[in-house]
Amino acid sequence: MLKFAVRRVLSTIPVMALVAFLVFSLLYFAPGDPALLFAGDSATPQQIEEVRRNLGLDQSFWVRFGSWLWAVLHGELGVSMISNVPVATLIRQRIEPTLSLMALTLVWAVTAAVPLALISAWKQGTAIDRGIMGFGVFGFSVPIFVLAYCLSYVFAVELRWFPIQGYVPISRGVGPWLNSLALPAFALGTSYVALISRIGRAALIEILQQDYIRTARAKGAAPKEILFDHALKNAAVPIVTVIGIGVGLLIGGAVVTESVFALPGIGRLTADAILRRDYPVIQGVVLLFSFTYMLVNLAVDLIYPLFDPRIRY
Amino acid sequence: MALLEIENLQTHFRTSDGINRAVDGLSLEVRPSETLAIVGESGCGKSVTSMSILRLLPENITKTAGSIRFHGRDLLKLTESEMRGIRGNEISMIFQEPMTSLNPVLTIGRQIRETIALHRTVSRAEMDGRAKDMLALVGIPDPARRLQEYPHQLSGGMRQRVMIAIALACDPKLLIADEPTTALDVTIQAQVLELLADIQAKSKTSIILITHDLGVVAEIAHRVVVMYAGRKVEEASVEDLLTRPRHPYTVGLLGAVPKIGVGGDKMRLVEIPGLVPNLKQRIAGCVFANRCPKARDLCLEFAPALEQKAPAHVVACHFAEKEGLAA
Ligand SMILES: Nc1ncnc2c1ncn2[C@@H]1O[C@H](COP(=O)(O)OP(=O)(O)O)[C@@H](O)[C@H]1O
Ligand SMILES: [Mg+2]
Repeated sequence: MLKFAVRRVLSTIPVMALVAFLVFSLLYFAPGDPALLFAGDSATPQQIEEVRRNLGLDQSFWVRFGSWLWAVLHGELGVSMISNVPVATLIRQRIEPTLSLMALTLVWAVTAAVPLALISAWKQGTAIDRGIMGFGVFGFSVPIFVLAYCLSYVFAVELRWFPIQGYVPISRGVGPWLNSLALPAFALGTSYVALISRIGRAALIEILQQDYIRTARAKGAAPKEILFDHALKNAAVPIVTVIGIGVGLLIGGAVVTESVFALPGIGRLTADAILRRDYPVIQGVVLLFSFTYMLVNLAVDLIYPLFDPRIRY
Repeated sequence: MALLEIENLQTHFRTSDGINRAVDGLSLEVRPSETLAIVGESGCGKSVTSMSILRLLPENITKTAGSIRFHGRDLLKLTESEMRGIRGNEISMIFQEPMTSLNPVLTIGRQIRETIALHRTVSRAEMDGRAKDMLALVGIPDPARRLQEYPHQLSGGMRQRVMIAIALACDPKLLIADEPTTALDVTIQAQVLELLADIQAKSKTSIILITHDLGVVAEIAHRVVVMYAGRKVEEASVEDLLTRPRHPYTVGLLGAVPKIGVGGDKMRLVEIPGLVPNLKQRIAGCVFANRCPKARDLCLEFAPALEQKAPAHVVACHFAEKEGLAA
């Protein structure tokens, strides 16, 4: 197990390295001369040249990549070209809304998707199943921002049940915190629910045809026991896998959701950085997103044995 | 009184190209503490019969008619929840596929306890004790350790023993074993059959043993029902059937028993020539007529009724001779 974990962690290194390389190239090949920006409008060519040397911008691509990587490994992600604040600081300031949004979305989406998958697998081919899967197609095909604006219009503008935008930190109370995140989490989670319930349903339908389900029925088990004790436990591996893969979806969706609901999170930071071409910030958040995604899927791999005793590392 | 009485059972399936009359007018009875074998070629409706008894049929059945009386109660008339109280408790079943019939993600112990928990109100400790006893009963060494293990850690023969342990955990009156040894090695087959015979002798559980292997029948059954195309064509005691088969189909089947150690070749299988009739079409005459060496015009036109041709020996054949019966 430990050996596998170590090997699995090591295997993420090449991927992370590739991501780092791409992220760095982004800045390197991006239009605009950072030295010009740094030196200011009134700088003489000599001053600009000096700034360039001081920043190490006159070095070769590989040397610059090396020193950048070294800094990143020490947690230095560079400094925003717009606000002059270190990227790491920006991320730290913005992480809470994003983590809150993701966690809340994950919780409600999984809580909703698993029962939906169970119901539609059990009622396969019936109107209920078709209804649920129809909702799934809808949930998956409506763009997040459309859903977000609709929700916001109905529940915030018209009904006034929730704030139209903004984030309330959890330190100001769980109630207000939840209230500020309800609509964003719902908008962000809908496609995730669709994904998980669809994959879960397919896995469950296959499982329900297995011989051991027939055995369970022959023992006198009721649908409740068959679904929860037998089927769901066997479907855990594919479901957990798609939850992990779907985190990618959440990350992309968070950028849009945070912008619509004006949540001061990493997603907003990203969107703003892209609009202003603040490359160090873009680099930082892309690295962070990739790292998170890998970490989640690493965790998923490591918990497989909990669900399936045949998987041993 | 019989423990189980099936009368004129009809189980029909809807398929894309018509109604499949998998079981069509089957009657049989199982007496207390006996082993009744149901034999017949693959596809003749043996599994459908057993699944009809436990009402575990797939959703595409269009019809189950007739009656299946167990202790005098018609199982076909029970509610689903009454039926659940019978499954695994009064009537248990083991299947042909030991490798896939156990849940891969649950421990052996959990799977045995489940049956007990479904039908008895007992403490966890009692269930564990019972589970351990059951494993010991079916001849699994070191039962305490095995309870903690998962199915993939056991061989096919061991898994079939676990299936038997699960099936017997609630002391059922009737055990249905659907080709319990078909998927196992020959040596393991013999052990599992011996175990079933042992259990039968000790616990007085009635057994329906489904098989296509008459060798198996000879070893542990008391009576035999021969099925063909969803019907019973012959029924007799084992000795009688094996020594004096009266239906040409049974004669053919006996010819198809693998003969071990005859001449140079180890296994010789005599197939009955011809094809099983299409169950999606109504058959006017005898269902076996198209393959029967003795068939005449009469057979193609009129279905022979099941008639007693000798004491405790019933045959559906126009040409089976009567013997030993008072006129
Ligand atoms: N779910 C089903 N739908 C349609 N036909 C079925 C179904 N299950 C079994 N049958 C048909 O019923 C007949 C008897 O099958 P079965 O009882 O499994 O035979 P066996 O005697 O080998 O156990 C076969 O013709 C089979 O094709
Ligand atoms: Mg069968």
